[in-house]
Amino acid sequence: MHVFDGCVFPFPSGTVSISRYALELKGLGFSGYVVAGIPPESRAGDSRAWTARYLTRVPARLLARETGKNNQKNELVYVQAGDAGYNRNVLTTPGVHVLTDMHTSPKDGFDRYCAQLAAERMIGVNLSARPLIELRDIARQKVIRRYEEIFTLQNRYEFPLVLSSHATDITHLKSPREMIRLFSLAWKEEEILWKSLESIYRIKNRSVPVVEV
Amino acid sequence: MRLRPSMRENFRYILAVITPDLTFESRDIYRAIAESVMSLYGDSIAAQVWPAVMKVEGSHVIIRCRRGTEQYLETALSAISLIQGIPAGVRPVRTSGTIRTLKEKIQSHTGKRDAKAVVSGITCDVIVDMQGRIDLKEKGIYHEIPRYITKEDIEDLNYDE
Repeated sequence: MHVFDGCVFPFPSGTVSISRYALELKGLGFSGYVVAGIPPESRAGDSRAWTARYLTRVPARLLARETGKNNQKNELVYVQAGDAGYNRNVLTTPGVHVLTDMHTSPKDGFDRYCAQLAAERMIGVNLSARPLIELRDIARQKVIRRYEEIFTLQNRYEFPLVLSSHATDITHLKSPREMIRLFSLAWKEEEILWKSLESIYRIKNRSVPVVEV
Repeated sequence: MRLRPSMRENFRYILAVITPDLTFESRDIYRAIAESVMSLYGDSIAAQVWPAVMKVEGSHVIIRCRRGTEQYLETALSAISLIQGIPAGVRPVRTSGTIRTLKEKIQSHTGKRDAKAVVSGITCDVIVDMQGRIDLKEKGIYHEIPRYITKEDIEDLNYDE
């Protein structure tokens, strides 16, 4: 089993060093993790840590250029979600691995057409545990509803889901069992949740061509 | 009311670890747990779960709940982000039917030592544990270095006497 934390932010984005993340996440039972916000050169030596470029607020016209930069660096590319039109654009852009920050996208930002595209192109949809922990009341209810919609679409179209802690601090780290418990607020089937913890491994090693010729 | 043994409630006990390694009073932990259960599930489920803090030993805490409600409590524990206004997480580790079993699992915390570490040319006060975890002390935090590190990240380490 390849249980991965889909995204963590080490120093300087967070307060934790990469080696400390490695120690903590191994202790929690993860077999690997994805590190965002650092250059890939600084991550040499640990095969369980994959680097990701976390693209936020990239205009649609610049997406292809930005995602194309990673090809020679063997990085994953995470792109922050936006409205439905933007998400469709992201999902049809070559080189994108994961559509992230789904809780920030507007209502109906991820529709069945997006789900179909994600499934066809094996692009992951990232759900973060942090809003479930940090938000309260109506804000958290909205996130749970949004996640439930995405799980419903996943159940129908079977695109890969990527679960992550989005940790910037040691207190944000969750064990796989805790992640399952938190996401069970939105979806009760644990089998799908466990599969989602492994899906980044499948996305990284996908056989579908990332760059269309 | 005194009940016959067969009529008594059945409880489950959850061993949890507080991260980072801080010590809180049991009533502060109880408040954080109660707030989390209430905000996630409401009064009805909170009454069913009936959480109670049984024992606090360092950063380990044993929490009681009614049998059958362990999943609710575990979810609520995972959703805690603050205890008494201090950022902290409560990580459920093990569930058992008796407190004694969980007490046996609590590891002793004798392996922690104060030290001075040099990180990126800056000397700062740290706490070092046996597994190689190094936490910067609150007052010695600099923005140029991470707060939670390991021995790989430091240039020099001198233990305080």
